[in-house]
Amino acid sequence: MSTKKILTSILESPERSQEMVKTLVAHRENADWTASHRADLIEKFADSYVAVRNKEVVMHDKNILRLIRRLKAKFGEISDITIEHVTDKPIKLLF
Amino acid sequence: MKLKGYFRRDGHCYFDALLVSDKLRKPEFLRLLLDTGTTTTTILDGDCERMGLDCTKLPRNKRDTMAVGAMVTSYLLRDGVFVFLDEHDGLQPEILGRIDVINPDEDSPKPDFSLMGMDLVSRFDKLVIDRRNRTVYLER
Repeated sequence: MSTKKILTSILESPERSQEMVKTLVAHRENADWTASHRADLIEKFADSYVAVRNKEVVMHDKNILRLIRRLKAKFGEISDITIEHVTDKPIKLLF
Repeated sequence: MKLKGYFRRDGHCYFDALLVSDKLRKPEFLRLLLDTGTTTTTILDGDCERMGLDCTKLPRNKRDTMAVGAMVTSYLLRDGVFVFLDEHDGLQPEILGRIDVINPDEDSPKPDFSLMGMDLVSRFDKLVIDRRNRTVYLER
C-alpha cells in the first residue's frame, strides 16, 4: 500500500487517528515530565539515556541502541516510550 | 493553524511528529530539530536505526549531502508524511515528496533527533521563536 493510502486509512479511522494523537500527547507529557525532574534524573542516571513511559523511568542505559533493543525485548511495542539523554554537561550541536 | 514546538536543554527548538511511510511497519515517532540551515528534511542515522529503516531498499541520492566537514552519502525516502499535532491536538499531516536519510554506520553519532529542513519550514507563513516566553511555533 502506498504512503498516501496508508495516511488516508489512518485519517479515516477515528480509532487509528486517536491512537496517533495519544502517542504524540504521551511523548509531549513524557518530555515535560523529564524536563521538570531533570535534577533528580541527573543524580540517578547521569550520562545515560532514560526511557520514560507514562511519566516514569522504565529503563536506562549508557548506550541508546542497546537501550532500544532491551526495550523492544521487554515491551515489544515502544512507540509511546520517550528516550531522553540525561547529562549535566553542556551540549553543542554542529551540522 | 499552529504547530507548537518546544525548547530542549541544548537551547534548540524541536517539533514532535509521527512519520508515516510505506517503508515502515507503522507510524514512528520522531523528534525534529528545527534547522533552517538544512535544505531537505533529513532522517539522521540514529532515528534510521531505531525505526529499522532499511537504506538498502531506498534509492541513493544522486548527489552527496554536504554536512559540516564532509560529504556524506544519503538515501531518498519518497512520499513520507510527517504528522504533527496542532494547537487543538488535531492531526496535521505534511507530505514530503523527498526526505533524505543518513544511513548509520558503526562510528556515526546517532543523535536522538532528526532535522526539520527549510522544505517543511517554508510551507508556513510564520516561524516564531520567543525565548522570553519559551514558546516556538510554526503558523499558517
